[in-house]
Amino acid sequence: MNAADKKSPSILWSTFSSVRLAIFLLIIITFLAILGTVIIQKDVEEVERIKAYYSPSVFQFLDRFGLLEVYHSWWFRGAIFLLAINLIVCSLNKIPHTWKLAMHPKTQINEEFITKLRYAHKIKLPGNLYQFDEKIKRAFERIGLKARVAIKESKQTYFAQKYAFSRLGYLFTHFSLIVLLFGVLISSMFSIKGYLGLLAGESANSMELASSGAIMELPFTIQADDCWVEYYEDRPEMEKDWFSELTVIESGKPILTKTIQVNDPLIYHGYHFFQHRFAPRAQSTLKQLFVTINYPDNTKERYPVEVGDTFLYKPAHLEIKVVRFLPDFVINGREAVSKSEELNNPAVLLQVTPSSGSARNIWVFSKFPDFHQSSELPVNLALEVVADFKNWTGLMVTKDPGLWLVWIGCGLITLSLIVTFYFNHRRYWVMFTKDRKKGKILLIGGSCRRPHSRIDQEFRSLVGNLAEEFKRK
Amino acid sequence: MTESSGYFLAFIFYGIAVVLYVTYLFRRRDILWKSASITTIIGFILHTLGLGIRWINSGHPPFSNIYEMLLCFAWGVVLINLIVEYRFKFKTSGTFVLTVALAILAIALIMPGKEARPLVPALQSYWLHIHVATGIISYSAFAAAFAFSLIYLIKVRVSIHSFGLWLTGITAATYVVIGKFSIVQNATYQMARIITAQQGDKTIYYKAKSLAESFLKQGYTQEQLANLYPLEIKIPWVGKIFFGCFIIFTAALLLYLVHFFTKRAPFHGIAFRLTEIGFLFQVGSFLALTYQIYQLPNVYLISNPFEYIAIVFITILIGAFMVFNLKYEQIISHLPEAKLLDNISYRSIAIGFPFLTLLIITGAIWAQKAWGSYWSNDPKEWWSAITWLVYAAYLHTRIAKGWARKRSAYFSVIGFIFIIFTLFGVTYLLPGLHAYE
Repeated sequence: MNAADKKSPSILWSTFSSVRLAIFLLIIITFLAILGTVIIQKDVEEVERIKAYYSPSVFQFLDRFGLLEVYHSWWFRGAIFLLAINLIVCSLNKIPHTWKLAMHPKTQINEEFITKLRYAHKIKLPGNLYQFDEKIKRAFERIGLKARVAIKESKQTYFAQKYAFSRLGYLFTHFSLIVLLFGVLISSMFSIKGYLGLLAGESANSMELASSGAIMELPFTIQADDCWVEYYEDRPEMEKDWFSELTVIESGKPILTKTIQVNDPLIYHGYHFFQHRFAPRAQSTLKQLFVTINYPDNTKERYPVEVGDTFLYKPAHLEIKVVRFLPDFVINGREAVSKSEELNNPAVLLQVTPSSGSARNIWVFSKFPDFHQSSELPVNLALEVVADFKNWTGLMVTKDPGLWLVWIGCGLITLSLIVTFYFNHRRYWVMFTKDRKKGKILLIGGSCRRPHSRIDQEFRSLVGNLAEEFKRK
Repeated sequence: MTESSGYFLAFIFYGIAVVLYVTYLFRRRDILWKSASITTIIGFILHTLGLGIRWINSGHPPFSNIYEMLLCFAWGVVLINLIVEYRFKFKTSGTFVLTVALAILAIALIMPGKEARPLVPALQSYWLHIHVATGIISYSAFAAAFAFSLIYLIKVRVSIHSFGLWLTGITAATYVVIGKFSIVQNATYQMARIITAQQGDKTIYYKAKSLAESFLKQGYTQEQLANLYPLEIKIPWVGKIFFGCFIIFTAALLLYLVHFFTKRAPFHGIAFRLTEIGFLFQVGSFLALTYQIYQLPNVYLISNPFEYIAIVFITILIGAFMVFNLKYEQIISHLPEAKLLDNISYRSIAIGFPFLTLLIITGAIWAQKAWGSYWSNDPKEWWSAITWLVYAAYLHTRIAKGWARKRSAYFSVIGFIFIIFTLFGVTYLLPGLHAYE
């Protein structure tokens, strides 16, 4: 660095280029992030439930200071923004130095430099240095390195290095982090999330936005051809996976069909369709009611019926009238009503008149066949319902224009960490010198970024190779 | 051999190995080290077999819940210990690292949810397996770094008084937290914040509070609820022992503090005696709690793993402290060079950090595939990010600011506390209604 460079930095620049600021910001961000996990956030829980969790005054306090949305607050984002600036300035500041270290290794050195290195060794040399240049180069070649020669004050120095690029690794990491943060920024500004539910066979071209509940048009139509659930073979009560066969329809033509499942979405024009929820037998269409009469010997007789029908059961001389049918029977007060139109708890009201005696009204349930039976009736009546059921699939739809940047950022970080942590820059120097008795000596030195036993070994074999080479005639 | 007996035998072998390693620290007989090492390897093989059987039986890698995760975590720590022991000829490393593995395995063995469950749809992703595998590598590396940093601190003679000061402080604080500030009367034992309940054909994981809410809404009275799901129960007479522990350790803490300021030896002597007595009380409280919980209906050790784990941990810590205090100087002279310890600790973190990064990235990819967004601001995600920031700060202070040695060692110890919190604390201690496994 020359004098002109040293003079220029402004206070702002030097503040933002300090590691101290980075550490300070890391501590602040850590603290705020912890705050966001200790207080329940609106991201993870509905407001009503947070309200129920805290007392009203505490809730008001937290809400007022934005503590229920820490990660969306200007101060949290501001801290991250400052860290990003800090990261950029710091990295820019370090580039010249790091570049020099990696690309322009120090070859103009003196004896003192070598003896102070992490690895240093001396070899006494014989009087005549026959073919010393080739010998040194060969010693380096034997550990897989290519030595180059530099001359300073008429002294020859040999230098070799390996994995110099790993010095740049951390700059690469910082750059990838910026890419990632940029992707996250775009995500947080432009990503949309919505839900749409489809019965098997239905299609839709709009969805409900998660943030506002507003309806948003999709640029195409999505159709659920079918949807189904699979259970574990050995545990039939456990759902294994949900599936939906989806077709994208654009201007009336099917474009793309894919069966999605949890963990495997359909992606079309940036829209991701996730298998989010599932409801088996969500809609039912009644096809036929049967009243069955069960005999004690487990045989039965079926009568297809409609409301208003009357039929005679001759063996017991009974007249049976179908008075009412409720698809979803429930008692409201003292009155029987249907909770919904779905066949959740189908029931019929039968008027049973024996040939001698008065008429009786009884409810017969298809799901609870033993419920109505009174001992006064000579037969056992049951209800059978034949219906079509349709499954319902709940899709989550997202579109995130920052996603690809986030993944690129993640990929680059991984690469850069490999470069930083699994490649170790090492440098070796060899130079001639003389000891006090004017005997010739070979000085060997080495340094590396991170101490490692493999490098200890490499240095030892370099020294060994050199000693061996110079013993040769 | 069944799968669980594999872990149990492994646990016993590791336990014997730890005892042998500790003995080796006092008496440098090579036979002791050899038998310790062989015992560890036998335990490790059994452990591996258990995991293998579990993998084959369930058809997926044993990574699906926190119990399986802990089994693998302990396995990874033992593996790292064996590598360090043989690679660096660091024959006493087992004393410390294996103890950490033993503690993790102990926690796993008292955990709920041991049966291999079929995976719910969201967990059926190979990203989950990659995610957990990276987690195991990175957490094992950090656990090892933690152990080596502690050894480093012992080696550079952080005085036995400071250790005493810290440990008694942590112990007293733990009893206050466990006793919920009302330990004089009775010990209370809060039921697991996570309760499983059958709802229709699904098993649902509730935090106790939300379960209680939903039952109250369904018209149950508080009393009925307390009988059905005792969310917090009072345990007779254990509280008094807890209180005794608390008093003894507080007194010891005060004496250590007085010694710290006056530097007069008698204070330290008394403080140390108190710590010894406290240790007996502690073992007593542990046994009493275990016994009482077995006596009570509807209450299990696993009902609140976190509090139980806390007691196990502080007991192990104080126990280790007592052992090391016996022959402090001798032990120090038997440890490898401080420089090597510092180096191994740093290198463990240099392995752990890239894998921690991968852990977060694979988690994000999986979340994107399963839930449609790579980051949902939930506590587990943020705590993993926080641990990343802590270790990033460690690397920066070490490389850019030249912090190394003592300060780095403290940093690595603190970092591991963050890891432990991310693993257990987020699930059991933080407010919130969802359960995270």
